[in-house]
Amino acid sequence: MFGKMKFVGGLLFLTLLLVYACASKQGSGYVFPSIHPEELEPGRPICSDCHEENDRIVYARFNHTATFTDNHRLLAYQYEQACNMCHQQQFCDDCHGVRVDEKPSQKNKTSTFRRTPHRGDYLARHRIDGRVDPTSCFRCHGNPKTAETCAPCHG
Amino acid sequence: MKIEKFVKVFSCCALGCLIAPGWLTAGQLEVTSHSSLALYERDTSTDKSSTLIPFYEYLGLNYLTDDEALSFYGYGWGRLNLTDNNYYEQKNDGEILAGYLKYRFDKANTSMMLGRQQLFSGVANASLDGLSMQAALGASFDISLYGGSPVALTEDGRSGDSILGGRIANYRSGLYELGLSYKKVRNDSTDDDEKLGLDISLNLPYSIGFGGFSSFNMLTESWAEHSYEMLVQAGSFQIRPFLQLFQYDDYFSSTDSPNPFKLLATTGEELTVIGAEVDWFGAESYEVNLKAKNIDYDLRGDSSQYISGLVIKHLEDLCQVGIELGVMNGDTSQNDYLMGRAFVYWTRLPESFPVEFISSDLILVGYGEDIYGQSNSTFISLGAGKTFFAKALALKFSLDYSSDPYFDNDFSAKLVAEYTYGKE
Repeated sequence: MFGKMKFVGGLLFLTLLLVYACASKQGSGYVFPSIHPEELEPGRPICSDCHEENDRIVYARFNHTATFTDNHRLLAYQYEQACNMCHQQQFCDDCHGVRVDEKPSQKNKTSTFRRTPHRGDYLARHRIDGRVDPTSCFRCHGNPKTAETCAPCHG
Repeated sequence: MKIEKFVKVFSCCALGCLIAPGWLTAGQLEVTSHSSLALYERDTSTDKSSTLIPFYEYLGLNYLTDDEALSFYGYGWGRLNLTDNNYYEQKNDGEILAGYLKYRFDKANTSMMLGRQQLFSGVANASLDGLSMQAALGASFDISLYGGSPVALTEDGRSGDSILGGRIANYRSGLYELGLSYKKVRNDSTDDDEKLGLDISLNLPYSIGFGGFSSFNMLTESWAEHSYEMLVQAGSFQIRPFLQLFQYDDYFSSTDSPNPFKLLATTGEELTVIGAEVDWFGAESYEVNLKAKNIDYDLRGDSSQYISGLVIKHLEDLCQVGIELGVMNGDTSQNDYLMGRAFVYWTRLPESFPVEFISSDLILVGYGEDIYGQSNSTFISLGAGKTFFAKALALKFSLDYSSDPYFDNDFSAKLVAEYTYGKE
């Protein structure tokens, strides 16, 4: 009962906040556009080539370097809307979908430029990476649904 | 009505309501389809080397009204096993990964999303069936809030399951952004996970950026994680030192943590990762990346080191060729490996070629100690593809070979058809 009240209270708070935000006469700060204002050339974007560092975000942190796929976690936590300018959810769901049958490297076998995780022998190598740093496994496989791929061996 | 069924019905109705009044024009609807047919062999509980032919369909729908205020986004996958065996737990399977309506208000840069959605916001990295909103509050604050039922906890039913949270951020362009986030997850009416997050981004002088994230576990009342990085740009160099600290008892402590993580939440271990990456964007479109990190364990009293080097030659579009070498020096010899990779995605082919690109991947790994009697592994993938109808349709084919501790002389083939309708 208390849980339901908190949920309803949360929704009420959300609605009031929405009304306040809509009625606000104050000028708004910088918000990310829904899509990147200029069409980007195909290939890896190096954001700092065009953007200066006096904006809301540090653009160099978004440079899609060779290992950006490995390191984008902190940026997504803070600037999900910046990712959404170019990537629809289905791009993220290849790896982050709550239950996807195929490994990202299986779905996109020919996309060797995408640095998809778990490529090649990773079933064998994950025994080592998992012992060395299990926190990196937990981020994606840390709930009952995303851990279905772990269950056949780990129970 | 079960929520799973509700999500399916909601997704269909929402799209139907948008389309039915005749608002639809070709430029407003985008449909993406990724269909694939694979062929390989696997052992099943009853047969050895049983042939598998799974057919996968990933379907995405994106519909935007003319005034760009209201949109619908849906995405999901389905699988048919075209052979008669028991390799898969369910012969045919599928999942709706997203199905939401989004409304952008004119004022205050506000938007709302209703339906199944994936959230990355501060401490939240979750899929939920529910409502979320984002709004700018004045010139230096913005806020996001969400609530609903977590998709990840559907295995034991959804009664008493909920997820609630949000993030508020204060920022000054060119200087800083500071975010405070909260997430609470309940499963079967008991607290499963409750975290408070603090994230920061600083724009420092001399092209130096600093950012990171800390999370506090409110159920165990202790810090779960601190992860911070700096970014220094100096000419064609980009240097990224980073530091991560984890306390296992607080990081893995969710009551629904699956195995093998559940066991780690009772070890009292603390993990410290410290390292740096250097990227060099050299002449002739070369990119060189060097990475080194030390992974230290408090209780195990030992450490592991990983060092890697990567060289890529980038050409136009995504055309590239690269090599990578990585060495894991584990705390014990069973955690050692040496990995080498060479990869190609090549679009500069003569016009007489029947395909537009070729791709290749070679991965060789040697293990410090044998795994199931194997000391090394080999993986080779060869692919090619061609587009049709002004690139609306792409056909891709790949052939893989692997020999590793799990699969001995394993061959697989895959044919993919990707179709996009309505993309301008």
